[in-house]
Amino acid sequence: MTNRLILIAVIALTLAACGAQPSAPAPTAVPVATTSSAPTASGQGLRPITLAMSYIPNVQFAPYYVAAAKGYYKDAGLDVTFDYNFENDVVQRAASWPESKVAFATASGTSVLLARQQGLPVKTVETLYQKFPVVFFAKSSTGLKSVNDLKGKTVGIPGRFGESLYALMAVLYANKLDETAMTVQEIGFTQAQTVLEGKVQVGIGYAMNEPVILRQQNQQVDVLRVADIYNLASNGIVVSEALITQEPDLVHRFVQASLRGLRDTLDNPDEAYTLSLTFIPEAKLGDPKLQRQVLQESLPFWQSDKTTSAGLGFTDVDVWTKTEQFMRDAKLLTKPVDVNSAFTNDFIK
Amino acid sequence: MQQSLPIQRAAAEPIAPRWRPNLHWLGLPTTIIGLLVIWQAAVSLGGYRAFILPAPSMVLERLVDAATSGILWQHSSATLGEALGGFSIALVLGLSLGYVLAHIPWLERALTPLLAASQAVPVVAVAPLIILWFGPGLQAKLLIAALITFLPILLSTVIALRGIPRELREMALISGASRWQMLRYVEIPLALPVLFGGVRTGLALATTGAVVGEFVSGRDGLGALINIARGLFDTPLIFVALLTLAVITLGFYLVATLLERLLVTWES
Repeated sequence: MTNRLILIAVIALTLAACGAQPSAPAPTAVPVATTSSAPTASGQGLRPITLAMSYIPNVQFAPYYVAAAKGYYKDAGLDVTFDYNFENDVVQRAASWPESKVAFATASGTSVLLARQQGLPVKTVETLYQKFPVVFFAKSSTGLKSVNDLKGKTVGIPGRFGESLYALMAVLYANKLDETAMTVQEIGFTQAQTVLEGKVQVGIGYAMNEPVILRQQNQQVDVLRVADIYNLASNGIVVSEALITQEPDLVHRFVQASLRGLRDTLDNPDEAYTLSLTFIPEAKLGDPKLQRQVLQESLPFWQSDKTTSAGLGFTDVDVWTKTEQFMRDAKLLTKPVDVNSAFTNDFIK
Repeated sequence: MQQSLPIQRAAAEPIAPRWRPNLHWLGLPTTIIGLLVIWQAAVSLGGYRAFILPAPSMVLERLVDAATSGILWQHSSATLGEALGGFSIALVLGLSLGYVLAHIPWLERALTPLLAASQAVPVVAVAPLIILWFGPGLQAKLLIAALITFLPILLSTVIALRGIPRELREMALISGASRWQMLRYVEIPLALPVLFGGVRTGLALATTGAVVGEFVSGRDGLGALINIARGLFDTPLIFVALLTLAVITLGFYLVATLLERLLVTWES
């Protein structure tokens, strides 16, 4: 009898744990913050949609968090859920709307071109990063002032995939260099640590991440911005062609609300940072100054001379054409991809 | 009156048991303290910065912050729910299919090699596909946890049932035992010790499965917390998540062991 009671108790606990999980109420101090309506009242009559982000919750998504926190999505009649995946996964999910229920995703132009080559019908409808944010960085004692300084150095890269690889290939391509000019080592996502410890001389990372943490460790850091050497089509909002055809108004409302968030973020980064923390409560545990600096370093990448004239979120055909050319020459693309079909600026107006 | 010999008296007198201090309980705490001392020494002597190797005191501080703010519970409860849910699914399916395979040898010969081969495919490679097909919600995480847990439970069920001596089965049949009585009074009690081996392995793997799913996608769970902390360069928070995972797995192991002791009474 006792044994049976214990078994029943264990099963009940199991079921309780499983049943509680999807709607597990977060403690009051921790907003779950996955939907745009989380900080405000629940959105009755709002259209529920999902924005699949190609990274973890981070202040680098501040424009979207601001749009959600300030009710811009709600004003547009949208109840936005943020979820977080790998970049390739979010592109595939956006491509398979409506089955996937992912209307919008964040992904780079390089991913869009690769996806279109594979027949995935996706388009960029807003570009957040006007400049490719990947950089080469090193301790100042190493001496990294130009591409020539990479010669003979040990360069750490997370792996032979993604934006870091394209950054390396683009720099080599632009300078007609061969990879044998340096020693490339795959080091996982430990670029800051391995550069600091001197295990590699140069790291490839994001301008707003690794160099920021090294400076915070009182290191003088040299940075080579890939965008200054060969700018590549970068991260923005991606949707399926089906969504554009069937619901152009939905795309327009979402993009416009996101751009309001972007404008506010650029105008008032302090407020944007504070609002973002609502969606990333974990950031409050560590070093808030570091995360504030990460946001600060992101801001210059979200605007350019082109956005001054054409508006925030602008997608530059010249950058995309150069990107396509490089990817084809580097054999990342096995056949030409029509750049003009891969993006549109219709929705930022 | 018969007098006993000295040697007989000595044998008859109860020997007072010599007191020996029971130090077995000291093993685990001593190991933990030893590891903490080594950890602290490595940090102090190596002069490592916190974002490379944080000191135990810093991890403890972050643990307290994460626990009091509710963040730790938010992520731990998600992982617990996914692991236990996935384990429950695998338990039901593993026991059912295991019972069938144990009683139908030709089916076992046909299926087991395929099931074993399926385990050679790393779940981390399959997880992105599962997320793609089922979405990033609870359903996919439960499936991933169940997938990784299923085979150990299935195999232990087949082995446990096959290991029951034929004489006992025949005796029960001669006594007129029905199929249900055979299961209730012969198979379940005799299979339990081996089954619990599979349950313990399965529970530990279920946590791994849940974390793999959270790594690939999602906002909640200890796998997601590790990803988030990595993005924040908050290495102490990564340690907090890892330690919590270790505690959860240890807790599962202890619960399974306790249940085994309570249910497998005939062995002792």
